[in-house]
Amino acid sequence: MTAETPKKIKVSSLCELCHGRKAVMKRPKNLQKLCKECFYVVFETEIHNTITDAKLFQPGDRVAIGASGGKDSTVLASVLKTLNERYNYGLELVLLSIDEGIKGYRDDSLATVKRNQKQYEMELEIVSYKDLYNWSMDEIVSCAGIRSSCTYCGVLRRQALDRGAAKLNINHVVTGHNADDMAETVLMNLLRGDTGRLEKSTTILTQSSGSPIKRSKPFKYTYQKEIVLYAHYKKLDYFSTECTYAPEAFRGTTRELLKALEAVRPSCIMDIIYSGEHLALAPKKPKKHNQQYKNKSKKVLENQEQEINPDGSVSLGREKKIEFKDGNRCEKCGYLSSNKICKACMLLAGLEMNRAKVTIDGNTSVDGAAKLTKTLEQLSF
Amino acid sequence: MGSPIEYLDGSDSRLCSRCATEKGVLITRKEVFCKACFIRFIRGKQRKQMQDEKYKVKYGKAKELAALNPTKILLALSMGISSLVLFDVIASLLQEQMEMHKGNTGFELVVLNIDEYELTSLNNSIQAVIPKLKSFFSYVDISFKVLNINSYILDETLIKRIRLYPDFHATMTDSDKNVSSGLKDLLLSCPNKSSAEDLLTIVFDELILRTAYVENCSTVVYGHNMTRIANEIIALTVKGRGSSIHEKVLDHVVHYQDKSIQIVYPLKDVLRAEVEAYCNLIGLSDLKLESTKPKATINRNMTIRDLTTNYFNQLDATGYASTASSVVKTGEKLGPPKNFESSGSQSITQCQVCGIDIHQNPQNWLKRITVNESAPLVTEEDEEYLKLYNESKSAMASLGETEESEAITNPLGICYGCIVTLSSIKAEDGFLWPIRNSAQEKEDILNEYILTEDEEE
Ligand SMILES: [Zn+2]
Ligand SMILES: [Zn+2]
Ligand SMILES: [Zn+2]
Ligand SMILES: [Zn+2]
Repeated sequence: MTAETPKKIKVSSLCELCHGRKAVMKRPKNLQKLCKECFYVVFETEIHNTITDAKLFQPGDRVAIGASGGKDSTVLASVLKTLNERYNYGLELVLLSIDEGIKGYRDDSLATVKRNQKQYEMELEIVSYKDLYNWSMDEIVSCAGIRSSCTYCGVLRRQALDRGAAKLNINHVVTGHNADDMAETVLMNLLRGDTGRLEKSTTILTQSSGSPIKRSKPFKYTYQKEIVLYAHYKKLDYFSTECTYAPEAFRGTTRELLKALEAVRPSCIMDIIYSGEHLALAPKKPKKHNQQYKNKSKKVLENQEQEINPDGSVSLGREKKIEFKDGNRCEKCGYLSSNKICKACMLLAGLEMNRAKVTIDGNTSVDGAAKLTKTLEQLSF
Repeated sequence: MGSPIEYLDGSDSRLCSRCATEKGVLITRKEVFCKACFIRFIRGKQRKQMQDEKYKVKYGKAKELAALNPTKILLALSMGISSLVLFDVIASLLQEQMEMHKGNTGFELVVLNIDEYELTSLNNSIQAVIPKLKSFFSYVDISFKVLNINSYILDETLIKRIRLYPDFHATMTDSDKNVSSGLKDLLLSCPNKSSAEDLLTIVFDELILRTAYVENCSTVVYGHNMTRIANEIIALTVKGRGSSIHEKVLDHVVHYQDKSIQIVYPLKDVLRAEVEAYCNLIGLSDLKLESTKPKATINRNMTIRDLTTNYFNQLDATGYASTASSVVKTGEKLGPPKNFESSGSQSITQCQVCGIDIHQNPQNWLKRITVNESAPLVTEEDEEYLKLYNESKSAMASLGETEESEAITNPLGICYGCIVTLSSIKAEDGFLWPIRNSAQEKEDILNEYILTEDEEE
């Protein structure tokens, strides 16, 4: 207050952790008032704890970071580089980018990834939808409509990341999925009644059976808002425009609910994840099976996606009554698939049919899109 | 707002699709119903959920046994429309049984209302409504119980001062002050509305079970409709209480003290709009009690349940009405958490605030992902500030500590959901709340029971 000491900080304005520096932010997770330095410490240490508790990495691992140029993956690359050096993880980190072919969005974000590559001194591999599938996202949307664009993109990206990793001879892809995404998934699976995915909603490390590629989410417990703050204070170079193709409407409603809840109770994102980790299907009441059915369900189980638990054990997915042929590779492209034709190839076949129609008769495109949406719904068991 | 029910006005000549003789009054689930058939349809939902022999009229040996130990059902009557409708549905079942079995019934009905008049500023008191209820349901014999919310506090020595620390461990201190305040006052010192709502749910669940126990009711029925159950499932998930969904809002059996009590939700397949329609058709709507407190209109002022309720209302209005049904179906498939059984080092314990099973140590979980380490101080100026801080802190501490320095502090076993609920209380003040102690509870419940016996008319 006095003129001689104009910079005097009030004790109540000090950081709640070090009590020596001025607090500059309220931590979104728990509204703790922190200085920049302490925020970096808690932010990075929590991610380190998540990585070590789940035993995500082994020394000598080559790990691909799914890099979109957006804030999540940019911060992921930066933090993983920091932690790898600080704690001697012994990892070789590589950036892996997908070029979906979305004009104005992906062009600029890829430029960001390329700058990150130089800054972080990491190898970079770019895989494009156009090269892999002969379809760019823009072409897909103009053909199938904007409505299901995210569903298409999700299926295609998953495969593209796997293929890119295989090309780099890497068996572990880390993605920037954060706690908000995790909480949203828990709610979505409940709201959609997706019992097949319910128990896996919060799994940090997943791997398809027989697939050499693991996927993990080191940001599982990291708040999106804190990722933004970290990027801001660290002046990280990221591309902030959202994908031009908005998420589907129902996911949008869940996202809004989550935002409203977070405003009332900031911990709710963690709370939902804690709940999600406890959601388990009750053992099914024993039914009389005949021998034939038993054999079939055993086969199904073998081909289910497996979850790797934090303790390293593998839990099998639940039984699903899906009819499919022997062998678990797509007949068309050789990608792992529980169906004869993998999801991506199914989608693409639908698109090809549609493209043919469009060229003959411009009016069928709407009808075609609807049909494709139906195909999609049937696919998502 | 959109509704899954379409009401038919007088000019509509469509006939009921069930009886094909009466004029239809509404369309639900793509079917035209007349009044009588719609009421039968909803009652049928309850009949289907409660087909067990024990609810039926007994004959022969079973009758002799039943005479000694009659089946008693407790109906939790909040006086909202769903519980009123369930009341009518169950009363009609009793009436049917009496008509078909020469005045005999398969069970006795006890109706319990927990008085919220003061707490939520109801538009009318339950005492004023009971005579109306009695005359409405005059054709059946029902015993009414009204419980004061304060009866949750069985014993004032169980009221402890709960403190929650930054590393998430919790303690309880014997409160040396004479606590004569009722539960409403304890709730008033709650850190926020969502926490009060959460604690109140715990109180209601416990009081209902306790009453079922002392009244010898082997079954408790709740009026929750499908939308309400879906809402509860999502709300529990949001509150970090996902592990208890399977034993909170779906049909299940509770082991309470030395008895097993079956919890049934007979209206779980009935849509909220159908409950409203039933209530209007039968003329029960005037009896419902509701809060006169103005509802929050800004998201920020709402409770967790307000927000999830609004969410489901919006889904109904925007064509996602089937969501409630998928949530309930999913909830029904849930069981106890699985992933923690193998970690033998830690056995399942119970929360001393709400009583649920703790499967995964919530303190450790939170500590790993909510780190409280600080970055080292660098400059001399920083160190100066730390010194200042320590001085002011010790001055504060010496002020507060003397008062309760003699009180005995014990660790408090607390679940994740209760940590969340109590997380914004100030460690200095703590929060006064009755702690669970099942051994003592039984004793206290019996004492309490004898007391109410005396007081009964
Ligand atoms: Zn600090
Ligand atoms: Zn394929
Ligand atoms: Zn009819
Ligand atoms: Zn609890």
